Amino acid sequence: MIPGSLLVPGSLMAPGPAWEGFSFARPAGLWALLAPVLLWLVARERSEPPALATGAFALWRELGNRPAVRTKEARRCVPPAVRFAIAALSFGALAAAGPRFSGAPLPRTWVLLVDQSPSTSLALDDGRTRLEQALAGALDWLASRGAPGDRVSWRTPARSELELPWGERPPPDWLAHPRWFAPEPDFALADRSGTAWVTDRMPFAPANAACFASGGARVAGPVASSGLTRIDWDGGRLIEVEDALSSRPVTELPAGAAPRELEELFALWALERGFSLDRATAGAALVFEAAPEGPDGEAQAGRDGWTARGRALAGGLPPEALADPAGERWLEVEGAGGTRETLVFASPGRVRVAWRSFERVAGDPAAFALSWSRLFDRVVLPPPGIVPLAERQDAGQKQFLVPELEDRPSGGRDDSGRIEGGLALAAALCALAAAGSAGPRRA
Amino acid sequence: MRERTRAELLPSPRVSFAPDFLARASRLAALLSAARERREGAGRAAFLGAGVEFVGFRPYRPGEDVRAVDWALLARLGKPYVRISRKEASEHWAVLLDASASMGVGVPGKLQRGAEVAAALASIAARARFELEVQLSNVREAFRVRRAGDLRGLLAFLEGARAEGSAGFAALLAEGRRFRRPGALFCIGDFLDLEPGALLSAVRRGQSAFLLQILAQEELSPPRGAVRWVDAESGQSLAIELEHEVRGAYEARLARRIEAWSKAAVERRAFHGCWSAATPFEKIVRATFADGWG
Repeated sequence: MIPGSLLVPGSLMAPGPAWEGFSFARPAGLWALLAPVLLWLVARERSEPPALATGAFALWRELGNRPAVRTKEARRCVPPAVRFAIAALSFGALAAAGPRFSGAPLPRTWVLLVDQSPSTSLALDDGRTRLEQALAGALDWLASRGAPGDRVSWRTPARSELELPWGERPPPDWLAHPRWFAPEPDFALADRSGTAWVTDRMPFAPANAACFASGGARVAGPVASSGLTRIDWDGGRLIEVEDALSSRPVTELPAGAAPRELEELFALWALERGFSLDRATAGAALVFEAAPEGPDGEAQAGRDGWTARGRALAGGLPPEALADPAGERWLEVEGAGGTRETLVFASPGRVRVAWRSFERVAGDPAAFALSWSRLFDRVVLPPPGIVPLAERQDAGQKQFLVPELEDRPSGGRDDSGRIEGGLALAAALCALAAAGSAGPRRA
Repeated sequence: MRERTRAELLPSPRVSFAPDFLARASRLAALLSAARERREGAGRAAFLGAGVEFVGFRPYRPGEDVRAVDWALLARLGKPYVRISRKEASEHWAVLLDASASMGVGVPGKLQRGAEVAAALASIAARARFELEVQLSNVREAFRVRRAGDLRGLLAFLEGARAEGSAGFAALLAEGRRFRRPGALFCIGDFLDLEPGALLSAVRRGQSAFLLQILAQEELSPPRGAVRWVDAESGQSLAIELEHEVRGAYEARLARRIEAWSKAAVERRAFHGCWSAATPFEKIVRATFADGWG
């Protein structure tokens, strides 16, 4: 055992699960082991048996040839008091070094909170996006702190949570920016040790989490669209560019698949906004999905000043239709048994309805039209390259903030106190025994 | 082991007599003489005894018992003379004292006690008007005591002795001719370096032999714990843990050796006794003459 060195599992101790987690809190205390070693050497040198002359040497030599006697011949006699003193010093030195055996370290789960808001898609001077640079820093940090067996939870508002083994990356489509304007994560709810924020602008200095903010200068470009008109920002002014956008398709509802009123309203909205109606869904700016096959039931619901009564999918939309984490339950009704049934679910680029037909729509017809068109406006996918003005602003300097990581939790109990106490007690008992056995030996 | 180191290990290689030793020895001699007289009868017959052959006269020596004076001859010649018996005329004692290095073991040393016994024997012999010769095993010349006045010279001779070398009784026995005259032969030593037969074979028919075996306390009862035994004469050493079993085995072997000496002495009508060097010389001598001296 080398005094002064930190005992890391497996480095100096015999390998194996029995020694995992063992270390000394005060390894410098191991230097005190020199004292009992020196005492032993000195005592051994001085403990030669007393020499006595005898005329009966021949008799002793005869006895010395017996095996039971001969084995004792070579032993030097360190007095019992010295032996106890050596043991006391040894136990005391080990106790002073603070041995601890805290069990095998547990694997931990890291959290990467990824900001996929539009600003992080902007490019930096080196050609990488802001998100790519921040993510690179976070992955380096994770590589230095993690260990095989750890897990990483990937989280972002725009996607479902993904938990992967340490060292693995999500598939490209998970890391890719969504086609809609995804919001920033709620960083305030995720300021914990073992969590890393991956963003372009540090929202605030975290107390416990790590933060990898890429920073970035402001980037001019398209900031909005209206029909076929694109609005650009040159870094200072907003410029309208007419007919800068080509018409994009929106999915046309099959006839009779949804209430007629909604079909007509959706077609009018698409025309007004410059979209073309298409049956295909690929590349559509908005997909209006009718209710899936299933039994119908009476349904009455409304919002924003209108109410509709009619036939809808019994029980509302099924759970698999409500899985998009970026979506919202736009229209719900209380069903049988007090459960909430979703009649309209809206997510970026998609509106799903459980209505099959309206029997009666009550309220202001303008309110009905306005309510649905605002929904369509909100969830329709923006044209490619459009990044809101606020997102194109300067994100400040690159800031990688890495706090001190707390000790990896262990699986076993911390026995340091008991081990130290036991060693100290053993040292005290040996010291008492040394004091008790000191003195002249009685014949 | 170096010679000097071996010598350092001998705790008692020399002899030193206390100032009151001669007084003690004289008292012992008087006691034993009185005991002898009580046993053999008082007066002239106490010395001549029944069946003792008269061989002549010799001048009276100052200090001798006046009862030994032949009063008839004194009246005729006006000078004191004493009768001489054949036994008295031929009474000659020899004391062989082992002075090899092993006799320096123990406190008091075996040589010290042996020298005191030898000097006490000389005091007894002088009182009984016997001639006594003291021979050390490692000194060529012997010392003769003919009268009480020679005792001081004997003490000086013995104080010049030193326990050293390996010349024990074996060397003395090689000069067997020197011990034919004595009526009594006293051998004082530890007898650890020879067999009984070797010593007793030197005793002639009609000679009284007294084997006085003196051992050091640590030879009779070894200490406990680990000890490095060093042979006083060869310097060889052996470190042994003296546990109960080992000590018991040694004591049994030693007892068998002492018993062998006793048996051999009995067979040859000799006297054998074994004492610790811590035993006072008076006790050793009294035990030796408990049954008389010849």
